[in-house]
Amino acid sequence: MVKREFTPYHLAMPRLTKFATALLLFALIAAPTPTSAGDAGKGSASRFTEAELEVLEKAQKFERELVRVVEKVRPASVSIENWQKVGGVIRPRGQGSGVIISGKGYILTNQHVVQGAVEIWVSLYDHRRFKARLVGNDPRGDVALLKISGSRFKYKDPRRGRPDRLSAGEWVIATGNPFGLAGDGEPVVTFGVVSGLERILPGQFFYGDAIQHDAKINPGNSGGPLWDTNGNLLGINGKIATNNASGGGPSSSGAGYTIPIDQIRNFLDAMLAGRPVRHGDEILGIEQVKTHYDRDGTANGARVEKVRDASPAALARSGGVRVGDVVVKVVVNGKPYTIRTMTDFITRISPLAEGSRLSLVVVRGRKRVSIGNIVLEVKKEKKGRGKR
Amino acid sequence: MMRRTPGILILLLLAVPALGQSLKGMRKEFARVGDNAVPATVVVKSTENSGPGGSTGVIIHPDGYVLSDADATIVMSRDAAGKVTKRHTVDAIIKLPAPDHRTFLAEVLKRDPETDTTLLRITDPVKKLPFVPLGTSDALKVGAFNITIGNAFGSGNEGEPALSLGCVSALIKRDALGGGKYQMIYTSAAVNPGSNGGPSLDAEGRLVGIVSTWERDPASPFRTLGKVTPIDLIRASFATLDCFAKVFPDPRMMKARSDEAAVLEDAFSIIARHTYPSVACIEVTRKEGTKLTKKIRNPLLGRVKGVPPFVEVPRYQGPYSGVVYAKDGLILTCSENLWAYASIESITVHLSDGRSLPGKVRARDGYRQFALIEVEANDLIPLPPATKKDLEVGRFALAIGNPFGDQPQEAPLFTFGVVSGVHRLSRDMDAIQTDAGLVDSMVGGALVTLSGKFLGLSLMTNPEYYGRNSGIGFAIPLSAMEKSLPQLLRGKDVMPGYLGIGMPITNERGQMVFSSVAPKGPAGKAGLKARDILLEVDGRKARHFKTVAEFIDYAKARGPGQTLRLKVSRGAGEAELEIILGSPPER
Repeated sequence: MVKREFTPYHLAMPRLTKFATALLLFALIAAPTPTSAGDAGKGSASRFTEAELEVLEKAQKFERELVRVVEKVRPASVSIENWQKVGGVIRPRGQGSGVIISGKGYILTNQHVVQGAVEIWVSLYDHRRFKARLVGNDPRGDVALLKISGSRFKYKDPRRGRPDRLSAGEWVIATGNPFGLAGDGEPVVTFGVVSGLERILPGQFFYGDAIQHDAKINPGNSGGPLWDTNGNLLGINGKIATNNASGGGPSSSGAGYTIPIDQIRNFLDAMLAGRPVRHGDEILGIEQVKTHYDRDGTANGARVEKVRDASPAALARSGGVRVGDVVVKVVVNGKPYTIRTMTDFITRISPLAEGSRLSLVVVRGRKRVSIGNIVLEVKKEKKGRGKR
Repeated sequence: MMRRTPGILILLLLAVPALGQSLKGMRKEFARVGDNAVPATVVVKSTENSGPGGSTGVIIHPDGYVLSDADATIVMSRDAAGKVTKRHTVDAIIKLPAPDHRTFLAEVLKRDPETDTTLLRITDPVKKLPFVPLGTSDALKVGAFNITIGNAFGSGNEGEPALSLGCVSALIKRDALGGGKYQMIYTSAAVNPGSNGGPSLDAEGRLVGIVSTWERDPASPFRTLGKVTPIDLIRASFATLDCFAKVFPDPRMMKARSDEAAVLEDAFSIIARHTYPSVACIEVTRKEGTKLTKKIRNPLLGRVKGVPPFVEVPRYQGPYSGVVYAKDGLILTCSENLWAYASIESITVHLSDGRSLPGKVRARDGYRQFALIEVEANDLIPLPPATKKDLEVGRFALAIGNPFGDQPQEAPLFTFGVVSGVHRLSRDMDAIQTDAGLVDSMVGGALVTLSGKFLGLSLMTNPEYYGRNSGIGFAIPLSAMEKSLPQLLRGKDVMPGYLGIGMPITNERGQMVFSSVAPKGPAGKAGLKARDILLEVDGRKARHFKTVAEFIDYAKARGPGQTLRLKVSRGAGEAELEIILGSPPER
């Protein structure tokens, strides 16, 4: 039923016979002599005291549990190649990572991993290779949904992860394809802890609410999964902050950023249907906010700097949101959130999908004004929506 | 089908707690530390700094006493030419992290450039501020967990500061009396621009030091690790202040560490201590006039206009690490540590027991990147080798180095990570990949398991490609070294076959094209020309090599003196060449 394409193509290459011969010859020339490694193992048994052995045994139990989690998540982590047409020929131009989120072969990755691709190739942990199809994407949020054909793929349910329950200091595991090292499909595993939450990363790919962690991720880890210690998917890695002062090319300095899976879930239906994805902050129409400081310097709200004409914010009740309003509270799906900074505001609004309902409490002059029931709808006539 | 579901569910529920009890205990372990310490980690800025930057500070007393680094409140006046004319301290602004966001004014009580710390007091009326209890740095052990929190990359300005977990990598002893046992703590937790002045905490969440900066000196054996001033040294430096007794009470006993964290960090310390005698420090003296820089591709190339394509960067000159191979004086190290081989004047091997012995290179394997050094000794302690069973992705990998020369410390240089991958670099090297931080001085040191077994010899990664301390590190296992060790033991070098060509490129048809050929190199002498297209290698079609690197590896594995037969296409015709591989020139 399941077509098993167990042709790990580089292993199947005939050149290896030659290689093996070369190795064999080498081995024959280099026959072991009595003085070799034999020494290395001696006197090892009694190195530790009883008490030390007890500590080591307990620690190894913990290690085994970690390995079990790694074994659980590795098969869902994939390597991705971005093939582009250069000089009339389609060639690999970049590499990244991804994660399988359904048995039918749906794969999440970053938009920037598949950007400009003519062909997308996916390598699985068991060295199988598939050509993938782009199902849908969120170009601004840097998420793309791919599909490979087949069934019964090992996957991780994206509904299980709870990034909203994370706190700084929790252990996380990253798997992926840094520097193309997992080009064969077997993911590279790194560990770390959550460094912080609700990070905003500006740029062409706008991360409105990212998880920061110190598991080492590098160029090539993009699109790859971040896991909790239960093996649940927390999100996909996409950016790093590099500290070039330490020399060398761009690489990890212990600050990696992950798009949380609960945010991606909001847009999954749209991506599955191939519909354009719009984030809450794009639809709402409050285009610029600034942290508002009290006279004593305490951050106390998000001051609206710019509102798009005819946007849901402009057309809302109570005369719409106006420039100069200071947002102090956002209510999303009945849940209130206090807003003290620009970051608070953006991280609440940006992850929202089309159709979400929210209300705002703003301070306008000396009055508190509730602006209720704003529906995030995209107007049909989209012609006016130019690039901002 | 439906009726089965409950059964499966019950099974799962039963299975989960049994699976991960230790893990469950550990999961939130450091989150608890963060819950307490993050609200007390503040942004510190001088009142004259209106920019987005700022140092980090930590509240150590609920009445608003804050420790930060010495530069937090420094303002520099510059003349028209940009030269610093005056440095003066000013009052500071203290910003509490999200969700509090309060901002206070603070005065400098004492600034101590020696320890790179400043003690500030919030002058606005405050009480019951969140604070971090003090610990003691004298009780630290190499391998113990270490947590840094800081305003790295400005993260604390709008939101919460960033937390990172690492371990105590080195403790540098102090000669002077008073001020605690240690002069400096090196941590493997992330330290980035903005982290300076932030707290360094133990697994119980107590303050054990103040983050100074990361080691930037290219000559330092600790380059890229975080530098932390020990709290006991800081105490001594502020002991004369009136508020001392109030602000610096004796270290508190906290809620005991959770079993899991305690067990794990104790295991790290035990392994570090036990491995130390088997990891030597190797000092290499090079003759005067040796070129101490190397040419690399300019990292700014393509990013900044008009920069030269190549730049000279200083080479790390040691000390390096080595691993005891045999009791009778044989030590393994990475052959990359023996650069400028012909210019090496002498080698000194320092052992953890304080002995310093003259060393001699027995032989090198330039292909697998290791070398064998011999010293006069017959009581060295080799590490027990790891077997295939010990090698599993996700297991802990502990990196041990010894840069301490004739000043042995209580424990080696240590970082922890996991096995990230296996079968790396090439088939012959079969390297283990790890995210344990392999700083320059750890190259040639040991990567060991959580039971202290020798996984592999730490190798040099290319920092220009992989970056420094980026979590990409490699180690060559004993099994791979054993392929050439018998030869090395007999004093015979093993060198990679050398073609004398630049890195071939792939053309639009996927063929390998020789981009540059040294006319006097082995390939050039055999008649290979630039722009030749590779068709066959030893009678095998060129496309059997998936990548250019595979072809190069194939040639390297052949060894000097061996023949490589190539068929190339040149213009309209074809040519068959027999290349007698040479030895690579010494770098």
